[in-house]
Amino acid sequence: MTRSKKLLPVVLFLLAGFTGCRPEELDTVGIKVDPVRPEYAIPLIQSDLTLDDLIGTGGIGFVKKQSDGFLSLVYRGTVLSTRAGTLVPISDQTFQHTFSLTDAQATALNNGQSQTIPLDASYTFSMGSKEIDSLWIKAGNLTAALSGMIKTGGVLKVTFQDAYQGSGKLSIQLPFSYNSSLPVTASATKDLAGFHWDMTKGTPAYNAVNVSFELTLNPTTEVLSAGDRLDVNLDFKGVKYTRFYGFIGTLNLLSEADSIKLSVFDNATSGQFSIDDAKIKIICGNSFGAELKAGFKQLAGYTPGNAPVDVTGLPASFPIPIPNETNINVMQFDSVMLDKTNSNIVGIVNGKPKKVIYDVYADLNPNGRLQRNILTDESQFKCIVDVELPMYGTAKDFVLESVDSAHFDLEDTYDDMLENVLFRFTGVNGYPIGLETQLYLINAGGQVFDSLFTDRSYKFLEAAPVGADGKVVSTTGKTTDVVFDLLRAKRLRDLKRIKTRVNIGTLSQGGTYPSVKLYSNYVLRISVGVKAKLNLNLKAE
Amino acid sequence: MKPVLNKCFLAGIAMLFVLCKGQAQNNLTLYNMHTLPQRIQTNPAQVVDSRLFIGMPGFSSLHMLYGNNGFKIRDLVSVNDSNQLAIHPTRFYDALSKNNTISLNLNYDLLYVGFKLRKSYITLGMGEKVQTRFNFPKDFFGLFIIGNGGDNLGKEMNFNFGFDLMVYNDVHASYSRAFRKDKLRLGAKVSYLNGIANFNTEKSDLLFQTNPDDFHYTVRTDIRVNTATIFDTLNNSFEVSDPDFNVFKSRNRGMGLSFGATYQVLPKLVLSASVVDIGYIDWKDNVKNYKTANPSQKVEFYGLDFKDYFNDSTNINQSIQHMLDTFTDKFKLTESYQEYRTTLPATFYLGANFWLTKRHNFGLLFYGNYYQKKLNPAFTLSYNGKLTKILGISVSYSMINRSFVNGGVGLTLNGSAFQYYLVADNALGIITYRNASTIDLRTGINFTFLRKDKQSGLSGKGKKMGMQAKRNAYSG
Repeated sequence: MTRSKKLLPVVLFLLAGFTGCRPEELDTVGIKVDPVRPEYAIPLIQSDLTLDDLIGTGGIGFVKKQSDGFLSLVYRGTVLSTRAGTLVPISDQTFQHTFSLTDAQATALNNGQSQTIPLDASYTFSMGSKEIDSLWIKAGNLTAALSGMIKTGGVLKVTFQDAYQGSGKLSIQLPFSYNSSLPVTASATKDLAGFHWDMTKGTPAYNAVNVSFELTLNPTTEVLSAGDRLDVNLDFKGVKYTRFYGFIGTLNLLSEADSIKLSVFDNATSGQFSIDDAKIKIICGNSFGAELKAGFKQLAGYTPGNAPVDVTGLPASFPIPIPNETNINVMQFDSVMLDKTNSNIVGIVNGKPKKVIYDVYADLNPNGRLQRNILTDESQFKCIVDVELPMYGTAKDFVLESVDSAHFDLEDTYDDMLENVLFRFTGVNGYPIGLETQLYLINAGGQVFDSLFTDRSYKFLEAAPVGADGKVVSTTGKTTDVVFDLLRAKRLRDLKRIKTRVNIGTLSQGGTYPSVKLYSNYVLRISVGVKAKLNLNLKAE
Repeated sequence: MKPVLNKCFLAGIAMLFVLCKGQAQNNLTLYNMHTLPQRIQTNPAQVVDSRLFIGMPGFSSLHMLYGNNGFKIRDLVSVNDSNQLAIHPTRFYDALSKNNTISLNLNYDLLYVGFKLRKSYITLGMGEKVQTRFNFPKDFFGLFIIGNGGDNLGKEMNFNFGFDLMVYNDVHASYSRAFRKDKLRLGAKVSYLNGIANFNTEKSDLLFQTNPDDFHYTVRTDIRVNTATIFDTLNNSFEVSDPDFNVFKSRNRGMGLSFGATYQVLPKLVLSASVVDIGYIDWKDNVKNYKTANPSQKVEFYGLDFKDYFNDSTNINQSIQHMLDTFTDKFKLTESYQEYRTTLPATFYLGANFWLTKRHNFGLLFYGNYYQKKLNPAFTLSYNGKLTKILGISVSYSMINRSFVNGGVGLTLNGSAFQYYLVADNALGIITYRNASTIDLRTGINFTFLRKDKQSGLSGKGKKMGMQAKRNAYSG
């Protein structure tokens, strides 16, 4: 046997071995995925909450920071008077004059001679009890119109002697002509914007309008007669001013009642709360150059269902600055403060009123015609009432409660997926105020079916400790886990409302509650994360 | 072995651990196939049983290798008793390493010749090499399968996906010579390399951590990716229909070195060692580098703002958009055009062969490459025989890529000078692919001349010396 023949069986054996191995084939029906049980952690929320976030001024107030960072909560109410432009309008005015030909004038015109007839006239601006010394006009029109029975042409020039724009007087010309029919008519309009009108050149020395007419008639072959007339109308319409000098009479500027909602007490139900130095500051702004008297008809703390508690120590009237001619464009301010030294405001605030109600009046020229007035069309009276709560005080078992609608969607398909959910609340408290809280879950029947924590008032965060200077020296922190297993999570489908109960207490030192101060660098950081354990049975076709 | 040689040998091994970096080449069965000339590529000091060989031009060698050190197909899918395709996410996850690599290599020798000249053996060759590697992190799948809230809470997870592609020409020459009465043989190979295309993921860290206290996320990135090609991708798009052959005048040049040694310790025991493809390519043509602008930047996501959350959806959307903008801004990549260097996927082999006869031996081989600061070893036991002048065979058992069932086979079939060969480190893997982590196949045709049986690495004289030594030992 040759070597090749000896080798042949070996080669055949190897070939048989390899050809006997057949690659695995995929011939399957459908796909099945093994269940997996992942656990996912997700950060949901984190916020650094400021005092405004925590207390909430409800959009009607703000947090005031002093230079050292000390904070005050300010609730503000504002009343504004009507602006002078609306309060003291300039009514439309009409002045009339009639020219009548004399015999000599008619004869001269028929003899080919032109005639110029000058005339000065005085009128009075009709303003009732108001007296105009001068006006700076920003809008309005003068319309001059003539209608005549004189059978010739010519021109009428009307000049207002005391109304200037620059060095030019207010003047208007009306050319007219006779076209074989009567009456002869003409009209012209003039924009009054930019004119300054002095109305003191008369007796009395206000509302005086001095006008010069100059009527020029052309010679004519038509037959003219003595007594032929030409009527002139001067109409002032839509006059508005930027400045008004004069006297506007005695006016009731304002009489308005309003209220300031103290939202910090919105949800307060019980407990002690004290602000050591609550204040009410009344700030008056005025840009009427006129005597002005304003004050409260009422200022009181009010809680619905209870009688208002009047604030004592109210001033008889507010101090109101009156601008002069040079600063008439700028509102001037003055203020008066009611605090623990001159009123009962601290006691009223510590009674946790829901609102402060007030009624403000303001009168212009209350004592009559004692001085001339200066106004602009923007002149206004403004009264600001600030209820200021400096964040220096104490709270003990101060409970805030609120009920809000809520719902939780958990679809049936998640029943098999969810094993449990853990909510992790992490708080870092930089305020010397401790928080105890509880959330009650309420169903459609109004019944509480679950609560977030087992304690009625769960100590969510301890108050931060303070040093000798009353300032916080370090923060406190706490992590709270709340686990919802599948059964508990399913019950959330019944959720319709959540009742939140927050118990606030300032730092306690051996059972006493010394007043604490809040500063702008204090922060409450709240983080909410969720960790969900799932049981995923993925179905694939 | 003299002490000085011992020291050199140990120092050489130590150097191998430092220098070797890259991806699987394996060739575990090929290494010991003394009837196949291509074994010289695994150790330039090796010789074969033919004094002259010529690889068939165009089909000298075609080597395909798939390696997956992460998972086997069966870890991910199987067919259950109901004939359903069952997907096993958890089993798949458990099977993964921290960092996993799928390699797909294709080496094609256009030309390979070699001849013996007295005590020397010289080879010349040229070929094309395509090496791809896809890295995927266990952490990424862990995020979905295990989640970030259990065992992964607080752990810094790295989603460092990576992709590497290197295509280059290799023109090489090797020389080996026998020393010390033919007991020792030393060899070296030099390669001139010409790069065609490269995608190099130098770094791809995308680190994600969930804080165990409040579950907030911290993310940071450190990405460095380089690309280069001989085609002018910076200015033009390459069109296959109208190629510009000037592009082959590449400036992406490099070199590679391989060293090897064999030493006959005892008449029947030969030790061998080699380090293959220590080298580099400098990429200069059409280079683009992408780099994280500021690797120290990190983004922390604590959740939405309390006020936004309860106010309205507009604010929530704005918050989410703001977060995305922050990510985009902080993780911005910068582009540059600086040349760079990549190293070859170097490997090393340490072997021992016990020769039963001049035609049969048993081999023990330790293989390794060093990739991403981690040694990826393989271990092989083999029988290698020249059954007849026609048939040479190797049967191997290897542990590769954390897989302990890799049965390799190598065959050489000679008909006169004509030689066809087929080698696979995991022959069963080709058939039972679901269990395979490594599948490779090398095949080709050589023309071998003046074949003579002898122990690998030794000249005939050495063999005589070895027999003399054996007689001396017996007589002693």
